[in-house]
Amino acid sequence: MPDSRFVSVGRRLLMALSFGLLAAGTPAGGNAPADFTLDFVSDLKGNLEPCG
Amino acid sequence: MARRAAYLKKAQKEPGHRLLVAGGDFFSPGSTEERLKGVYSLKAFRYMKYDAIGLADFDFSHGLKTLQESIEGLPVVTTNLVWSDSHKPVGEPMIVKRFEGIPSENDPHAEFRVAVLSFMDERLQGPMDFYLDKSEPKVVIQPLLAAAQEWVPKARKKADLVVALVHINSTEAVKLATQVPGMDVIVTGHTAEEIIDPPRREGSTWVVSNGDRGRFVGELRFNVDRERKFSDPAPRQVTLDQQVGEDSLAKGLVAEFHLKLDTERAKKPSPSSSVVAPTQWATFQVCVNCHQAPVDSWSHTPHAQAYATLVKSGNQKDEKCLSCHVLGLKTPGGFDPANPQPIMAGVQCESCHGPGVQHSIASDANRKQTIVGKPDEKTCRTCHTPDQSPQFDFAKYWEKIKH
Repeated sequence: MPDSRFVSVGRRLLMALSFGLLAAGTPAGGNAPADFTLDFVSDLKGNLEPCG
Repeated sequence: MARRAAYLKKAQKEPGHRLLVAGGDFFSPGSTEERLKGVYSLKAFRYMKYDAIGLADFDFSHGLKTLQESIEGLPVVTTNLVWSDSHKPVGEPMIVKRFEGIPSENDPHAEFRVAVLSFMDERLQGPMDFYLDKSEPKVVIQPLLAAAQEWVPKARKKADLVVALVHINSTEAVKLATQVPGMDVIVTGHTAEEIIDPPRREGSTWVVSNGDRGRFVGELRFNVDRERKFSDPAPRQVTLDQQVGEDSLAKGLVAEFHLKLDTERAKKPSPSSSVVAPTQWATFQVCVNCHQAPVDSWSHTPHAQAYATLVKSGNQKDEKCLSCHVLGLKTPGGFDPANPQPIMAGVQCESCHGPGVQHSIASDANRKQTIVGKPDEKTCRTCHTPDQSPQFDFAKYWEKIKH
């Protein structure tokens, strides 16, 4: 059986790490904007590949 | 397609959120080849996991059955297309895509929602009806303006960002943006132009276009803040050139297309005729009798190897490609894809100077009148188009074939 104190410490560490990662994932510690990219195409007209 | 898939695969690994949309006209009207190209384009879009796919007039050009089979399971959005009998939408009238992990004021894990609508212009009803068999169920294009006035506010309520795929040109799209506020982005379509309109802003709407034949990936990159406000987007047009690389699975789909095309062509024997029209092509083997130096020079140019480059890329059966890589495709005496003749391969003298049989038998007095002596740049540009030959520069390229 694992020692419950270690489990609790481990959980806290994991939570701290998660928040740290979340903050790192958004610029300037989570207060700044996040990125969103729209990729678009239309009128492909069956052009599967360039000729050569 | 393999380049598009390679680019998107790489882009999707970058941090941030990404929505992939396509605005219709996957198909082009025409033969079995065009039908299969559309079918395999949609297979590739399924593989690339596009988030929303609109439809347009050309998508109906090979009948409803082909279209319905091709779009099965795809996220198709057709806001103003309904069945005439049931008045039910042909696809989804709206697609809302949710993104997690863009923090809002109160919730660091809050969702961020994007609504995608897709509209066709009702003036395309005529062309669409022309393509569809009269025995097939009728698809009705509801008036675009009224449909946009109905659906944009609905989308606005459900989403933080509203994207509309509208099958009209940029000028008309700008007008629509003034008539129906609330769309953040309009992706236009129905173009047949080499020139791509730059992104334009009308009120709070960005109108973007991306040309035709899928030569580019159009991108708009936003920053989203905690109040769900967007920065002005940074527009980008990614050219799908060789540097992008190729995705092997998408390339496999293209290979499958070629196999399928072979199989379908084999099922249909070429129409035979007892009357064979006389050839108009002399070929380089006749030209050389009087023009030895230019023909010798030509034999060392890329033009002479033009068919070989198609074979190398696996496109030697693609008639759209062949038309610029062989002599007289499917004309009397010209190159026949079902029975490729080496003597008709490549870009030959007559590809630029015109058919030479009459010239080769003309009297001295008439000889000059029976051939194009000096073809101009316009002739070159019939094949050296911006999408197939983006680096084309007449002066530089002339040096390669000077004779």
